[in-house]
Amino acid sequence: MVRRIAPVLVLGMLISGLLFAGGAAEADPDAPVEIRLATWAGASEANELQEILDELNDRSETYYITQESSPAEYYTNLQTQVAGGTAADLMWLDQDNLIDFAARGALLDLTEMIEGDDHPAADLDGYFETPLERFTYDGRVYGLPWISMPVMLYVNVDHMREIGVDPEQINDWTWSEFRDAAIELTRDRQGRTPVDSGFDPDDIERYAFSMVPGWPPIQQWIWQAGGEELTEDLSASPIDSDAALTGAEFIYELLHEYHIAPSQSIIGDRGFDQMMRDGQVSMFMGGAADDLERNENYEIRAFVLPAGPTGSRANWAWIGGMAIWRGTDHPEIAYEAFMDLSDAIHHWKVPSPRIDLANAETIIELQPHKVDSAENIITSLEHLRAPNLFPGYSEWATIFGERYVDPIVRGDERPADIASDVRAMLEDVLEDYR
Amino acid sequence: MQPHLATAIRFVIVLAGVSGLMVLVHRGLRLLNVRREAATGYALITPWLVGFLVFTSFPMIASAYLSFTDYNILQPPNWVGLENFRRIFTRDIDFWPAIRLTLLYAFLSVPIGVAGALVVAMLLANDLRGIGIYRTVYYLPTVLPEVAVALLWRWIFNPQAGLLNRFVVPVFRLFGLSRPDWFGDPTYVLPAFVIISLWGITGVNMVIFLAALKNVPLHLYEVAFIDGAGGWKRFRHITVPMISPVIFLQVVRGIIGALQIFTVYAFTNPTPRAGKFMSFYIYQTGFQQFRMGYASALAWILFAIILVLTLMVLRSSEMWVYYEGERK
Repeated sequence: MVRRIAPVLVLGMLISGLLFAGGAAEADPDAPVEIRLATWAGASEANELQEILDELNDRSETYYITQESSPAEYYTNLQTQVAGGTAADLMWLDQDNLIDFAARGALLDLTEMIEGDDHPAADLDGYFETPLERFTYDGRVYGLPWISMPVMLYVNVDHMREIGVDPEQINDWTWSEFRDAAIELTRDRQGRTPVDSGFDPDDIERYAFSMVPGWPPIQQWIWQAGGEELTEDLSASPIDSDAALTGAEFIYELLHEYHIAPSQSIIGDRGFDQMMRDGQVSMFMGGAADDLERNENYEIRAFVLPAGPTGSRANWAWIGGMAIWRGTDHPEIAYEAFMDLSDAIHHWKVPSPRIDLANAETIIELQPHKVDSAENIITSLEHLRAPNLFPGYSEWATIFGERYVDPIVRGDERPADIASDVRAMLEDVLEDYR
Repeated sequence: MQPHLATAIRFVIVLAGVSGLMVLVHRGLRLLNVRREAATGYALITPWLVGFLVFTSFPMIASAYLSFTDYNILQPPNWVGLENFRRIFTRDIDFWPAIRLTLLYAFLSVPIGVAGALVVAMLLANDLRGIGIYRTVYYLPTVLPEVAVALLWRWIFNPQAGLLNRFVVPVFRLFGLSRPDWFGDPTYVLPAFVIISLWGITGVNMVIFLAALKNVPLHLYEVAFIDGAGGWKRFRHITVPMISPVIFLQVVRGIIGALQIFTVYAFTNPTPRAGKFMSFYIYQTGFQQFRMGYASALAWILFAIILVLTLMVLRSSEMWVYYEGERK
């Protein structure tokens, strides 16, 4: 009996399941289309974003955006979904990854759509040049930036006053003034500075600065000294040029001759930015959106970066933006949602990549704790510079980070001793992608 | 439709499909005059078989194919023949250091791990009062997540505040050596991971040895004792031969595990100047640089190394593994 019933039962379940699924898939043609948005937003950022999405969804009759947040392994998830044909319609991308996705045909070319659009976010002349450039590939627009974040020098103003430095002068600093202040700020438990006799680098109570391999990017110092780590035509990595070496040697000197920064092990245990918040570190380079100014114990402000020997204050731009998946079922509606959401995020994230929104008043309105930093953030936008990117940049960056930056920052290799060898390795990668 | 409802429906469909397949397998085999008992057996292992084919065999075959291609996930694979392998062996600046580090780690950690687990198991094999508590305590490390263990070791190895350096630094100073930076100085990275591997002494390895020790017949020890054999001789000539199949198992498991070390490396973030373990290098190439074809080639090379070493141990086992009741 059971044997006779079992196949019928299974078949029945199959058919009912299929009918159920099929019935559920039927859609009302007039109903708003679901547009999926992939983000790397963490919990609090996702909640803020959801409020924006709720407003947009209430207003729109053509779409409703659903958020798919995956803070961990975001790009692995994204690549896998694109490969499997199940990617979200809209996706957050940063400058490093946009080129890869665009060059490999995963993104919708927005050039023509944007040209005929009078949406505020579609006015390409209204963007800063650097962030917009990084969302174009081969002369075509594949996305729009929604944040253009310069690196700022966060300073514990109380510590500065303690060593007799007027905070108002920090924006005028050159490398040598930065170094002098760093030496004066670094103290061992006996109160000695790195230039005092008997200074104990193994028993430092307060560090002047904080640095790990990869952050802040060593490229900034190379640029400020007039050097290049990767030429614009992507033909060379002249890290062994005199100018490039000047930048890298400056970092070596600060870290290994003056011991102004804690080791990576200490940073790993006490927290990179946490040491700044706790007053164990006096200066920190972070993105303009970091909230280090929110501190009950110390007055912390963001300043522009010190100028290098050429007078340059070039700083590393981190640019986040959004693009549309090429395989979307609803390109027009996805584009409409993309534009509305881009505009909304431009009014949320600071600093905005749009010239009209990137002003001190907007920053203070959105983030009141940045009242003393806002003008400096705007000034820093003038010095923004993004790396020269190409498909395969991640392979190049791995070698640059592991073979050049790590030995300098974490080890004690002199840049001049290793630069030529590393240059050959880097140019080997460039050769492959040329 | 609510996402959870869609998932529930898909689950029901898959369940129904697999159940249907089981019935079909049973019916088909019966039509082929296969015995009822055998047909039922095959029908019952069908879900596992389907899972194995879909989630293990297919990815393995796919990765074998991908190792001969240039594949970045976003575009279809592009056949490049042996180019990935040629590049790995002739131009890859990370490959040989990764092989060196991985093999050295395996050669150092496996003997220490096996011997250590055996020693701990022998201690716990004694029938003392409260031995159950000791056995439980020694097994506890196994239930900790590997990530938590990695973070714990990161703290233990901290150059300034770590537990290990409190004991080690005075000794190092006697020899004029500076405070070791275990994960920052390439000299200490391999020793650090070998020390971490001692964690594996407890837990499953220990329990397997304990079970093996408990299965050694007592009368063998009694006879040896009467014949005047001391503790070392009893261990050398009775314990080791009798548990040699388990030692063999532990060596094979240890080699495979050591060559695949990943989590602890990823979470302790040692300097890459010491080289990278192969599994991490494969992950970095595939999932950070999105060079899946190249990563597949690296994975197959690692597989070949594991296979060769395992076969070598297997071949050598004829000389040192004793199976009770074995006939040659």
